Amino acid sequence: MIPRVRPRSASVREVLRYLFGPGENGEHHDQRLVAAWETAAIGGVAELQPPTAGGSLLVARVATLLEQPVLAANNPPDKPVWHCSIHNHRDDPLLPDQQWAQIAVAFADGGRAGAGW
Amino acid sequence: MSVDSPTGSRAVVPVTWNRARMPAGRLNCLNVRLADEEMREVSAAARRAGLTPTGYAEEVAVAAARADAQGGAARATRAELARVQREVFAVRAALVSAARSIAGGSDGSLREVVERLDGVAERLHGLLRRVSA
Repeated sequence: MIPRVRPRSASVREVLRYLFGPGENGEHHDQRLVAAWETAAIGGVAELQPPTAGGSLLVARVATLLEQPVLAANNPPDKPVWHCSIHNHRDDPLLPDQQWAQIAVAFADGGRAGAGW
Repeated sequence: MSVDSPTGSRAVVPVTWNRARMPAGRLNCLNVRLADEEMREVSAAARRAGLTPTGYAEEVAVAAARADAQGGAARATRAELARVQREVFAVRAALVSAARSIAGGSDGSLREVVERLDGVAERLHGLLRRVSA
């Protein structure tokens, strides 16, 4: 696994729009959620998949669920978004979503982190 | 009475209601124009609140106007609103955990309750944003 921690940012909505958009050079393809915090939805991550409308993915619901706890916190940070991209080596085998989900859980402190992810 | 036209095809039509009637009726009307994305977001929030988009817009607009009219008093309630919001999150998390342990989360009624809670959280979030500005 090759992780890369990105600069912190203020708006999770903007980060999600970027990630679920085409990317800077059209490099984003087949975007989907593979994991989320344990109590995100009754039906798990499948219920949170951004729906498609007009050819673009709508991230409003996920963004809202992530934004709300920040504003409700005492003294929320100016830049609450921690963004870490992870990729495997080009020689590594392609991993199924289930395995990426386990990796995401491990990086998000085993899912015990107080914040949504 | 208000009628909301559909904005696109939906596989499942959720049950939503107009807000509670007033005996004297509401005789004044505002026309609101929204972009497609704004309309989708309002419609989604309304579904989670169990209201029609029109009913939701009416309720949120009146709540925002009243909070705005309170001025300083509204700003003083930020900590209290945030505490209530955190309690809503705690209830939601407990409900989701319980629902997942009961029949693997297949109980649709519990899912509706979570959606209603999300609607409450969204309205509280709007108020928090207003008093935090």
